[in-house]
Amino acid sequence: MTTPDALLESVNIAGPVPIAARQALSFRYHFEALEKGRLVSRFCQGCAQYTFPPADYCQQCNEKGTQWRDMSRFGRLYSKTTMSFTAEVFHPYTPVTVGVIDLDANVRLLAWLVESSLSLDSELELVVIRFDNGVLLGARAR
Amino acid sequence: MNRASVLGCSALRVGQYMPGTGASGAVLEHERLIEVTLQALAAAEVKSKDVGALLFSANAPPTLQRGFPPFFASRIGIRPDAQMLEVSSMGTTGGTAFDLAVNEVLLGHTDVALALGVHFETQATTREAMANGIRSVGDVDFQSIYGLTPIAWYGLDAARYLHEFPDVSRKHLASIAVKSREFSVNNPVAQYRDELDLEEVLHAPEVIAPLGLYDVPPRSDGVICVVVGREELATGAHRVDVLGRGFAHDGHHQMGRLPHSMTELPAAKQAVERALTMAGVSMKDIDVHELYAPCTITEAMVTESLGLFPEGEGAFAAAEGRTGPAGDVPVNSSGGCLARGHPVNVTGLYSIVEVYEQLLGIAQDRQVTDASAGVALCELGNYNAALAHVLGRSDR
Repeated sequence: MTTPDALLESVNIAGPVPIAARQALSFRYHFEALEKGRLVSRFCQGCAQYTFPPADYCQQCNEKGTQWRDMSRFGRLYSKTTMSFTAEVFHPYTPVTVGVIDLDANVRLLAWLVESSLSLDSELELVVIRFDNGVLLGARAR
Repeated sequence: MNRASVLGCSALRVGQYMPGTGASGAVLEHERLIEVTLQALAAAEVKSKDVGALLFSANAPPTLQRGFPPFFASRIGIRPDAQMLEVSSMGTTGGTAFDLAVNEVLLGHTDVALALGVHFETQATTREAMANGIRSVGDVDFQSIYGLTPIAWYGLDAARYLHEFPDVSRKHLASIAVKSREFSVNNPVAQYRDELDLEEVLHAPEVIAPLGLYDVPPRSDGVICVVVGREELATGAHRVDVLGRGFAHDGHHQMGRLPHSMTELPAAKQAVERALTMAGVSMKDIDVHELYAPCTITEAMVTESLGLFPEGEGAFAAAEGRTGPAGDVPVNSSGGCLARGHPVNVTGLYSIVEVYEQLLGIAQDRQVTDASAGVALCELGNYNAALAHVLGRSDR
């Protein structure tokens, strides 16, 4: 069953995805779901806490048996920085603004800010940035 | 309890030494290190035949020669009978080489151990440096894919710090860069030996928002050797002993998976507390603070984390001159990463050398008055881990 909060809107950027994450057995489903516009990670029932990056064991209690679960796309901007210089594969897209985002689901992750004027602590939502051949997480004002 | 002492050391002035590909007439990495090592042994009054352990900081990725430890040992003519290895632990690499050299002596494996290394990176192409950098400072599948470079993480720290402490301006942070040069003009091994004024720092091109060119470290090469040995081997009127060490990791890789403060550095605090406890001294007994701070923001944050200043006041302290040459809490009297330079894998060893010189009272015009104890601190990846050593002067 899909939670509406876990459904992400899309922002298209022409060109190749700068770096594709590996399709590891443990987390490829996260990226497959993202391609379909859905945010998921694995959840530890005992700790009532998501793992992130998704893992089949809990990073808190080390117990196996976490389950895939929808994760809300809403959160807050903890910090951000704008990079004019980075690895060559990112050059078509620089300057890029990267945000540290604290999700309401009590997970901290990175995403590109698709609106660079967002101020810290502002409420935001994650989106899927769709490149020609892959996806990254993006964020914009809620 | 037996102790290990720093018997002597030598360091090349931090700068740009790495030969370009195909350079004619170049002086190579091992040749630089042999020269520095022989100078260190002479300063320590130790013969190379007495060296039982070689602890190298790992060479930076662009170094052509691999298998460096046995290669170097054969070229200089040292036959270690206790230990020989190269260590690699990002920003704590140099400190770790020192730590293991001290261990070899304390464990009784040898009377003399060398902590030494070459860090050559300045001829690496920006392309190589960036590609290696983003893989080092993040989960390659979940963080590197967004393109964060090592320095970008400090940009994230700075943005949050300035947000949480709105009275702190870029000008306050910039004063840390200015203060660093006030020290380094008097440091013969510093990369930058000229002064910098506040306006230059503030008007420099932005490198990583909100930090400018002088808020971040230069690219640097360095070559260094520190001789560690049993305390009885120390010569001279004063001796510099290793009194304590401490290590801590906060459990994060750059940032954690849970929301938490990025402006506090718990690993730095814990590592220094552990080193102080082992040494039997407190922070107020420390006169010399060599703190790993690649960026202006890092120095503000780490001085606060160690309790030298209240939260949000680390940059004010620099602006008021408190951490500078005439201040009551001198910090990074070498000039630190910003001004002495930041040859990453040996930065921790340059900090040991600075504390050593300060405690012996041979730091010339940057001498901290009556320095009798000092701390050298290095860190790994946005201060997720930290390694601290407390050194103290004793009279023979």
